[in-house]
Amino acid sequence: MTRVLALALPELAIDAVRRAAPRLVGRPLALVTTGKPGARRPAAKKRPAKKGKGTQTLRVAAASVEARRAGVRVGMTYAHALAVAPDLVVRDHAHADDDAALLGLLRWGMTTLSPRVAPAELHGRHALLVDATGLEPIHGDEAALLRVARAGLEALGFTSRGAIADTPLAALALAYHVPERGPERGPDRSPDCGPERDASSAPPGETRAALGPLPPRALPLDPAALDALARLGIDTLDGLLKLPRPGLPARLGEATLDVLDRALGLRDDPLVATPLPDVVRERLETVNDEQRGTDRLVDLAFALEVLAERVARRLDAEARGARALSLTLARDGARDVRSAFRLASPVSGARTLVRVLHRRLERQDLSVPVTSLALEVTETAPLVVQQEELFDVAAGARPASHEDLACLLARLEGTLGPRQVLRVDLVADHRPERAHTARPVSAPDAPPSTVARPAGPRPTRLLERPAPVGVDTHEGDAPRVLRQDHEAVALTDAVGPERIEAGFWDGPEAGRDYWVVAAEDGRAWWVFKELGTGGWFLHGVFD
Amino acid sequence: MIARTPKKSSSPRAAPELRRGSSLESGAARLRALPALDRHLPGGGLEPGTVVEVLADRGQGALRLALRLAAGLQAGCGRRAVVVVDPLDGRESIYPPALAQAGLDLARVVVLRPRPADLLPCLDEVLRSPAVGVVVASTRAPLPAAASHRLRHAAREGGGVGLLVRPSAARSEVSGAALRLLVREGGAPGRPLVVEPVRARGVRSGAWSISA
Repeated sequence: MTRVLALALPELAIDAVRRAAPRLVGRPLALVTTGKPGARRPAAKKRPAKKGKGTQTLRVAAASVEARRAGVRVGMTYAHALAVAPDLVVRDHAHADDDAALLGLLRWGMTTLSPRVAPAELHGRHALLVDATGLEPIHGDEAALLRVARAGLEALGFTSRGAIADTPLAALALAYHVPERGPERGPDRSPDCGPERDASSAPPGETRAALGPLPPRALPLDPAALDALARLGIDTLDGLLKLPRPGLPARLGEATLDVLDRALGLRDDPLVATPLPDVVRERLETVNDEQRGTDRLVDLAFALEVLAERVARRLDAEARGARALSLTLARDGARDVRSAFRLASPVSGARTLVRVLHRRLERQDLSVPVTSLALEVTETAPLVVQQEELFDVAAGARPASHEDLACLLARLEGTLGPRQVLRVDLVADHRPERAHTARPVSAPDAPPSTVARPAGPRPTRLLERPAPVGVDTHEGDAPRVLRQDHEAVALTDAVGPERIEAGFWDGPEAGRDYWVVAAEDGRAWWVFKELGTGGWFLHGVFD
Repeated sequence: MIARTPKKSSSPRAAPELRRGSSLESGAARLRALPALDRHLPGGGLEPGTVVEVLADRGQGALRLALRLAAGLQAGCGRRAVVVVDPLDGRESIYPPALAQAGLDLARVVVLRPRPADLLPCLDEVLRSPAVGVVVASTRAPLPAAASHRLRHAAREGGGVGLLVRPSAARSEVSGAALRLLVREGGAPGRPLVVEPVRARGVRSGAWSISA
């Protein structure tokens, strides 16, 4: 027997805005858009204050409890809403924010409730569907699961209602349409909202009875079908289900029958877990009451800490670490500033994230006030399970972790630049200047090479470009005197030649005879004679 | 060790960091670098959380010696990284195959190429990190006494070993290093270097021959 938990999110849009702007909690808030409420249309580009000259009218798309209490209703025009509630805070409604919030909640659901979680929509309102089958060993009975889920959502700042039933559609209908608790009907929450919620669930096998008293729009039926039902005077699902089944497709459309069958469990309606993009995003506004941004580093550092805390909690729940981050500063009347970077190894701790990010923040141009800060984890990786060192040789020093190193390297990259913080490796190439690679530590991991060390002696310092030098030789080419920088050094030692043939594609002159030459005081150099031209060059120093 | 209670923390033995001068003779576990060097040092190795300077003229092999020491230390520093700091000068740079030849495991090595102006802050940050076991840096630039002491404190905080390669002319400067080795005779590859301790408490002076 399948059981499905539906978590209705009636205030998703409002809650998402408030999560990014905590100072709006408790204040009447309305989101406006030019489209029809619930319609998927890009949000109005214009600020509410400069609203339409002959363009579409701005209408309220979502209103907070406080706003509804003041009389603001979804669908009102912007002007009407302001007239009803003069202290109303108005924002543009951005569907992208809703989607991001829903995605975040999906991740949360997958990591804390059940591996199978799917998003759902009922007439433009959002919900999460959770496969609640067989979760008793983890969360206890269904009432306990419901409590855990709703407490979790509340901690994240999201209003929710929940119901458990045999099918996704039934659970969704019950979650949204528990009698007398539709969001439009009662702007005020009833005081007895606690235990009675659980009563909204339908016990196994009693789906039909539970759905009966609900209105037809509790199911995702076509608007045309809903209109037809209204004309017929059918105002409950009970009435709809009593209609003769063979006549339904003709009167109300094929889809209606399909929806009814899925709701009652007569047709399979499996939950399909959505694959999630590997992105965690958190945003926080840094504006004051006059909608002005801040140019103070302390304010931004504080916002950064809050963001890092939230991101860390989400990563922690998934036992993953951030491998690539981006920090975006939205600014007053100026372009957004985005700084994206990768980390040498996955990082999940809030403190580490702050330490890494603070360095980036300091380097941003804060001459233009910043209105919001967004932290995005664009790539994650499983956290390396750490094993404490058995013998920490440096007694007294606290044991180092991968995260410490990742943090250090990220900070160094922030100050020096990614091209100056490198991992090096050997490459199988005869030419000395090509015998190694240097990659930024934050570049994707490459397997370590298995190239053997070069057999001949190699200098500790290599000149970027071989420098022509004068060399006097004994018979048989062994160098005797080295002339460089107006200095002639008598050589007491010359070991060689080590012939290094480059690839034929480099031309015949590329062959070189290398010598290790040393002076009496112990100084040593790496010089070569170019076979084609016979010229001598200094290529390295045994420093 | 059992007698090390918080009550005794005011006595000099229990709090070596409170004593003046270098702390080569304090009781912390020693780090083995190279047998040829270790046997001359009190306790048979380098003390964690200190800076060691190798002073030499260019081309005498001081960097090679430092890399050999780093390779020896790397074997004992577990997961901690070895950081090689190579200030940018546009003409030459540290040659990675030489790191491998010195015996370093390149998978646990990070090479930093700071601009000269970034060198000191960068060294300070790296030494201070508990994630780093050994720092090798070679610089011709002057190191003011205050900066040198800052590096000493950074190393103590991080618990690793800093190996600084500096010009031999720097021997007369004030330094925060616990051990300073002056290269007397350079060694071509395959020949031993002769070094002389300039400053080290509890170390007998003399000329040590070390193959690097």
